[in-house]
Amino acid sequence: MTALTQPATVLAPARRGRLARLRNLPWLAGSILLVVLLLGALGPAIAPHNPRDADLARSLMPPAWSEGGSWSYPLGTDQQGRDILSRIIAGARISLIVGFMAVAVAGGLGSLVALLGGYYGGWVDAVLGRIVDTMLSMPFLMVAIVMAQVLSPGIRTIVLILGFTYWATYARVLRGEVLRIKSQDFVALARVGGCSTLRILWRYILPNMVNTLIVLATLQLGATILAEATLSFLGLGVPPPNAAWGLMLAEGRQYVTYAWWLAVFPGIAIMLTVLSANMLGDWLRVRLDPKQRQV
Amino acid sequence: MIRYILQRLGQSIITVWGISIVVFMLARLSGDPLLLLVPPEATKAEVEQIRRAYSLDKPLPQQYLTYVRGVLRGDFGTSLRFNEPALPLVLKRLPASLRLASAAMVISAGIGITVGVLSAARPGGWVDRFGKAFAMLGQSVPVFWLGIILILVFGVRLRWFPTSGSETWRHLVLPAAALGWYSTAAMTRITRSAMLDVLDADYIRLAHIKGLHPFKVITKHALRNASIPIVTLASLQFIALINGAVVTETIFAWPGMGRLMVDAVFARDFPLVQTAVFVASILFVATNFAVDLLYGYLNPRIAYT
Repeated sequence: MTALTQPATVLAPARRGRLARLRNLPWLAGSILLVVLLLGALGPAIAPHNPRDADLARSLMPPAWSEGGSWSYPLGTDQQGRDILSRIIAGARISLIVGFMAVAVAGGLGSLVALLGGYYGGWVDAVLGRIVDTMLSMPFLMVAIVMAQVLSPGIRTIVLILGFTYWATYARVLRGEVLRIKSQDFVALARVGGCSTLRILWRYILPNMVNTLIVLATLQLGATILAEATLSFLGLGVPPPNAAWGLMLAEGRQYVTYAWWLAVFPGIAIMLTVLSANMLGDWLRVRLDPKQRQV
Repeated sequence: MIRYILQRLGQSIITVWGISIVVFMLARLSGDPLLLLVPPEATKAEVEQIRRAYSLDKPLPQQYLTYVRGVLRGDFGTSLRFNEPALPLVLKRLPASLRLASAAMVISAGIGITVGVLSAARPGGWVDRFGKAFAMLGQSVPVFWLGIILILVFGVRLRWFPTSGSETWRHLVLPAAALGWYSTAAMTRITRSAMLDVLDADYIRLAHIKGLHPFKVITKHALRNASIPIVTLASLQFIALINGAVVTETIFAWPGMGRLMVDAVFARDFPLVQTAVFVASILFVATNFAVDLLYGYLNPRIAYT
């Protein structure tokens, strides 16, 4: 909405050399995300304890550095005596699986709708456009809550729910991309050259909108992980005794007045993960999508 | 102009129709919505009686028509838990939600516009850098976590504000701050970007050259012209606030529509859930419609097509 007459603003003074290029990489975001990815991938192998191992004798132990804490439970224990660090590591895997898969479902469905609507135009576009409008006009959190309650709980359900509630954003943004690409000469040439519609969509249009898709997907990854945490927090996401971050917060909520670590550490885990995904998305946006540089 | 309004109105009506289908289908996702309606200890005869009472023995399209006919008459069904018509129940909770969302809006617009203007006035300065970090953080913190932390710090430790209830303005502070946090980040970003766009224009340079005080240039010349995207985003943020209110109201026990809806979900009170989702969606559509008109009014350069 701000791109009426503005020339592109200069972003940063161009630095030269390989060293400078290295310095411009999003180091902070990249390393946080890498750590979370490693935690998710290695999970059980590096967790100091079994995340589901409960023992009431050691419940609500504070973090190691406060009085009464122990270094064998660095971030303390929860109300059931489970190790918080191990649960946060286990939660990383759930957040990542749900986040990436939901983004894949939403991105896939959204791309398909965008391709069909943008390429065919006419009534196909009109009908799909109205459906997208409808989806975007609904309070997605409410819809997700209702779906989560109606369907049986589990990781697959959450992925489908988040995919269903988020695809319209992709469809809306990517449709514009399809329209832009479609009007370019190489697509017309391909059509003259006798390419089938499917081939044009798959080989010519899709590869050209991948940049936008990647930027959008990275930015949406954070939002999706937040949504999963919110559903889990409300008790409608991944069911216990799984160690989803949102669920940890929900379970520890009634104890937080005297055991602050129950709330603080899972929250920091969510925040750092989402923050790094958002920062990476912002960086990619500037790199891959010159049109959006000013937003 | 009239044609544009009518066209947008027509689109909005189609959207509402689409929403009615989604809302109708939501309760039927599980296969048999009857299982959601009856208490587990109901006998077979009672189940059949309820099935007939809700016309669930009819084919789906017919059920949908019955539902739509009811909605058009203002009959959204009867809440199972309260045994009262669902619509008045939801509407009774609406003012509390709107009050919370408005307070959050005031906070986020106040902070967001101020920080955004100051950031744009000196890009790369400390306000800008702080604002950028703040905006990044704002969009990454889960609302429910922020709510809990606010309760811990300002409610439990410092005892400055009450943590639940809704009687006085003091009750409003913490939930509004938690809810407004996310929007503050968005407001900061859009204000900064809109101001940067405007500050580059020739008439701003002229204003500087003729010796106007920089404060005046920014407030009188720049901000007024940057207001279009800001106002548009502010209205759209209002929608996000109503959406986010579901969580905030649950944490702070705020007696609004969002909490009513979450309670109804857990009580399996589906007529009430459907109504709450429907009313919230109508609010969305109405806000979007108003924004479109407002946008056209604020910016005559936008062509009505």
